[in-house]
Amino acid sequence: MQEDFHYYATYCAAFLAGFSHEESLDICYSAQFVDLCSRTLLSKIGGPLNAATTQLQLEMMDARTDIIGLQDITRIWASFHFLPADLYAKKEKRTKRYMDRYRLICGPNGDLLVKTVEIAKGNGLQHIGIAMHVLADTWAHRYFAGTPSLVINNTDDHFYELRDEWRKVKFRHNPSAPDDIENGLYSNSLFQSRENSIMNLGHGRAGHFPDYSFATYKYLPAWGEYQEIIKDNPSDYKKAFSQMIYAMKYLKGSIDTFEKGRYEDSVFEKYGDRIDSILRKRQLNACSDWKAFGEELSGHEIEDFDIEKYQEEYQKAGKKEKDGTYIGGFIVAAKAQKAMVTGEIFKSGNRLAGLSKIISKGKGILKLLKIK
Amino acid sequence: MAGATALSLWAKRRDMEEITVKIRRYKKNIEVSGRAMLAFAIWSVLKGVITIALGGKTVWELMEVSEADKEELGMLLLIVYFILILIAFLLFVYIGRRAISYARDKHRKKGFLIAAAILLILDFIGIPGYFTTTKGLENIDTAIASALVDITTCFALFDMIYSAIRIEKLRADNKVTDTV
Repeated sequence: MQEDFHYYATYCAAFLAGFSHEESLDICYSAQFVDLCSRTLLSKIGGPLNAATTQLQLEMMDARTDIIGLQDITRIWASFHFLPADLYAKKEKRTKRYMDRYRLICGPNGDLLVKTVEIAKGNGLQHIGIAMHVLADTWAHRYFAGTPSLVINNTDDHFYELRDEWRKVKFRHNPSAPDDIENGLYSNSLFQSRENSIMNLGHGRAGHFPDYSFATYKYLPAWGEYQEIIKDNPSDYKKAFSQMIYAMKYLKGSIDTFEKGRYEDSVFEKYGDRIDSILRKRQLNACSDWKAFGEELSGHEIEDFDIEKYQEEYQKAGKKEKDGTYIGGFIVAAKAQKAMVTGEIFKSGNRLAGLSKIISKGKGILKLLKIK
Repeated sequence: MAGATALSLWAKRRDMEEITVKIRRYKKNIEVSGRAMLAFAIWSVLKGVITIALGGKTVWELMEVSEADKEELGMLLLIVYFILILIAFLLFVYIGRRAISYARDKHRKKGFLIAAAILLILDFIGIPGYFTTTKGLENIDTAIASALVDITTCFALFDMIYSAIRIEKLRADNKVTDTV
């Protein structure tokens, strides 16, 4: 997903869940910041590099793709952008090497999503924002895995977009040029036959289609054994929006439990047509529409996202005060999310996210991770 | 009654989906075999050139032409040799490109399968020849390598033909048009 959903739509969902304007701004800022908190930015502000929640294109170009490098990439992308749906999925006649990758396929309503939301409870608005980013991406990025893998993430020339009829999509490899959605010109990552090439990370082979709320498309995923997947983004994004409201109601304390597969569909009784029109409008970026909707809801102006908003606060804070700053709170939350996801992946017997250990709370020992 | 009809429709749709999946799989086989033919096309040219350049034998020695014939027909034989290489190259390219077009539904004619069948037979017959012409263990490695390449070519051609036959049978039996 993009800024239009992670920032503005998350603001709308937070407000509809009962958070105030200021709280909603903090939540949506954190949700969008997940897409920008790279090692480069953390280096600049003096933050810990292991709190990175994304990797820039330039960082990935330099990234190693040996086992250490792959684990590093997987830890970030699987934790924040491609949350695995089922770490214990079964598929017959497949090697462990294949299954390790297959089990990282992202999808909504997995057990990890429940844990993601639960560990955000009572841990600050930044953590809620991170959880909402992860939740939203489980819908947009479903069917792709947050690890470089040709056998999972590849697509081929059987790729069609639904306009008035199914039209074949012909990708071009021009990352500098924006997609021309009117003329159906889209970019994707270059085909690389090497299994662990960076080009095979996430949904690169499908271009930006997963991030366009208006897009309905069908293709043959590499893992799908020639079964066609039809991805209906307007419908998925609607579910993401209503599930965010439900999750944030739980996080606010309005409801007692968060269960997978549940949504706050009542929001569509009043706002269904409006939300539908925003999602289905064919545009590269729906920021202005979501912003207008959010401002109507709250009656307040939603400031544009500014990546530098909290950086000075963090840089000027003393070592002991950093956790109390906005970015400091985000870093603590990011580390917790990453630890939870990588720990669960490790617990399932999968080494693609590296090794994890549980540090228990005891007298004088800080509990950093708790896995049930 | 309505439930039974709905169930029957669902079952029919599921069956059609399974058939479509099978057709996609066979088409992919044909496309991959087509790409293999293009690779073999390049290999057939390289093999001819490398054999002369690095094989230690001249064209006439390869064709076992006598000195007398060489004096009389030398240039003609040389031209024939390279024409044969060119024909092999063009045949592989024709089969490869047509197979890929067929797999992508750009071309429905199956004439390339006849060429593929002829090539399959010729290749298969020629495999033992690598070993009967080898004297002792002197060039056994070359013979084995060449035989393996030809066996792979045979496999790709067979797979292409078999997959095309299976596709046509599935389409005919189930009246599948497998359009988008």
